[in-house]
Amino acid sequence: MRVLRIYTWALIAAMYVPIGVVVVLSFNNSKLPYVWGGFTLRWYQALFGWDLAWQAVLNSTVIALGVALLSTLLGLFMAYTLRGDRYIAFSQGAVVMPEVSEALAFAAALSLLKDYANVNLFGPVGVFLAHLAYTLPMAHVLMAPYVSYVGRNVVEAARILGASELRTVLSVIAPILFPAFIATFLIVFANSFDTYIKTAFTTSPDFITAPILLWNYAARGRGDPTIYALASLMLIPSIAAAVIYFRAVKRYS
Amino acid sequence: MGLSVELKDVSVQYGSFQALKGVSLFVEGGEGLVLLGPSGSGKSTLLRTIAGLITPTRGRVYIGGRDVTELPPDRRGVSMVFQDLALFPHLDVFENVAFGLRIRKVPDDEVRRKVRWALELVRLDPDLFLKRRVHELSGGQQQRVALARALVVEPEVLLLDEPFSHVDLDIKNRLLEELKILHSKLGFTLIYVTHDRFEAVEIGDRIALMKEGEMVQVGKPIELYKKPKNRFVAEFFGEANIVPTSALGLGEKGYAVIRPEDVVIGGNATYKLKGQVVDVTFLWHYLKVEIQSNGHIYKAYVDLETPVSVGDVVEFGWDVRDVYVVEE
Repeated sequence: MRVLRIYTWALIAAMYVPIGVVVVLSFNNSKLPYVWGGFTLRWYQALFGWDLAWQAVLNSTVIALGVALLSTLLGLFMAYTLRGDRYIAFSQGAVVMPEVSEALAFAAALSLLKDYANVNLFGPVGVFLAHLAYTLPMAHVLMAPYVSYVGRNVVEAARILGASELRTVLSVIAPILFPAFIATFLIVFANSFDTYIKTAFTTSPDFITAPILLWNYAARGRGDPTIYALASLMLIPSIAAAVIYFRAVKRYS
Repeated sequence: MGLSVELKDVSVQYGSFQALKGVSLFVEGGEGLVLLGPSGSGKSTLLRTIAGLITPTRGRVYIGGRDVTELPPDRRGVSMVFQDLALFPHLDVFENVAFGLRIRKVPDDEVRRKVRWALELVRLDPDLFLKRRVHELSGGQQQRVALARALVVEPEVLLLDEPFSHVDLDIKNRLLEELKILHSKLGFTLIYVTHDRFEAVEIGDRIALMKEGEMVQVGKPIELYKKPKNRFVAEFFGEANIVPTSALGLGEKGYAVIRPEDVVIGGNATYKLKGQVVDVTFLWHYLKVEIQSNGHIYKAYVDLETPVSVGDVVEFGWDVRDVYVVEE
């Protein structure tokens, strides 16, 4: 048991310490990662003047907002329609599918479209669709337990008390599901905002998202602390999503 | 005064499963009727068909003489209390009870007045409970809120689907008692589903006993008890000794039904048997004695003073006039 505990903490450390290091380096007044030159905000200042980074963050945000809204709405409808149905297994399967092969299949499909139908979707549309293909089943799986939490009887009780179908949706189902909706929206947003692989396979050279930009710089060994600043800022939506998610979900206990 | 409820030849089919097989039933306005039966007998399906939650595959449903078969639940003017209560988890007690009034666009001050009235009916102090969240309440309190929510709209017909199955026996008995009082005070038609015959006789003027989607017997409790239509009714509605008539020399086909309280030990019976006592149980105001005779176990409810103990060989029997014969 003791060994397991050490292992668990070591694993958590291995996951989070590098992220911490990046955040620390984004405030380091030195270009060398192994020298602490004192605290500074100048990398953040540099970031604010860097148009390409702004464009990338904006692109990521727009894609993630669209993907999150659409997949949460559709995921809710799917969860409602397929509640108690065995088809939920397909959705769950889709969520755990290997990211690379899924992205590859998507890229192949887009290539076929481009070569044989002369429809070029590489770029924002391709990225949007590739993200949606992954986040839709994810939203479905996240929403499903809350939809079944609403319960058939609550809906029936409202109907018998005189509520029309529309009124039941507005006065009963929607308010009960609202926190779950927000929680799912945030998780999907963070996922779409963060993902690199699916974007890399489906974007065009002129459509850069924040993770693509990070990769372009970081993977080529250009250890510019401005990149650390961008990476640190990108943590904010993810952390916010995680915190709000757990708070929202608590309401169902 | 409550409205009458009538079902004519109602069938409900789920795929290949027939949940209701041509059931007909007439419930008078203001009556208290219990739908009784084992699980899977179709009693809940029948209730849900009356409520409009299920559309019958065949047959008609009438409420107050009006054909409501095609009407959705929100236009039937009935109220219902569910087995799992189905309180709205996002609303407090006040808004739960007020729900039906809000839908009916009742003015605010009247909503407040009526919600208080309904909570007082079910003996919840409005000042203490109005602002409470439903998950903070005990099981019995939640039952009362569910009942108040159903009553606040002053329904002509109140449907209850095993409403008290999740509370302790003491609270259940108290709630049944109060429901009975409310029923006679407010005059609505009450249709109550249960699998528990003790609950059934508490609440029902009449009892409709169902089995496997069919209506087996409808009548006053005493009719079902004294004149069961068949062996199933005799067994399900009260304790009974059921013996093939051939074993008692009463004919080739059929079963003799002898209630345990009609069995006497050692006394003056017109039909006598000999047997060995295999079990004696103290049941407050009587003893339950099990006697083995000719490979059959007979149950007898006898006076507490009766001198019997396990192992005794006793003479027992009954008055032949207390034997009721059923054909199947």
